[in-house]
Amino acid sequence: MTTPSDLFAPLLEGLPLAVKVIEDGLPRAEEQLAQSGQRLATLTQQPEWETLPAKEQARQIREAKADVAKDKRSLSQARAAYAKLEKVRREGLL
Amino acid sequence: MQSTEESELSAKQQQFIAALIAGNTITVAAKAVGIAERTAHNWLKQPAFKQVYEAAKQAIFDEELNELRESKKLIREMLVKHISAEVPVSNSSQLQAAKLLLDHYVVAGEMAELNEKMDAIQEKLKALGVEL
Repeated sequence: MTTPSDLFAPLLEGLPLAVKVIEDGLPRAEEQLAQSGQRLATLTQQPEWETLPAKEQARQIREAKADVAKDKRSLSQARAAYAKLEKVRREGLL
Repeated sequence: MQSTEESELSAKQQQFIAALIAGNTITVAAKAVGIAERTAHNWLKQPAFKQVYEAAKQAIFDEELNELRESKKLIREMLVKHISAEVPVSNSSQLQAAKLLLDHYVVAGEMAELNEKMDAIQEKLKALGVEL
């Protein structure tokens, strides 16, 4: 029969690292989104921007927007993981 | 080598058991080995047949349980490798792996709590003279 220690032991091993990843993940995701947002905002202010062909401008804008969208999703995931961690702590499970 | 119980069964009966434990219904298994459905139901009532059939089912169950345990172990190891970035992994995957491990930890906690409650209930029932 599976005992509680059978269930816990293997998970406890990786838990401290998982907690750290979640704790570090939120500020990291916020920073990434801030950076990609900044890149998108300043893209057209680059000195060489006006010299780029329209196709290249469109590609760069498309890529920058995709990065922002990806980082928004990552931030959302990081927030959900952090909220879960906080909940587990509030319930005294950690 | 065949066990004594198995050897007491005919080849058709053994084939029928094999078809059943492969996940077929009685109707399909009977048809597959070329026997009438009524014969199949009669066999299922015979003690010797039932014994072999149950043993075969148990063997399959044990085998699958072991495979499941092995899979769980591999999944857990893979999770830890993702969390510790021992394998090439994106920040997002690393975070998801960490959250998964936390989720499993919570579920394991709930299961442990349930186990304790079950033990307490069993103790109380035992004290009351109730056999489970």
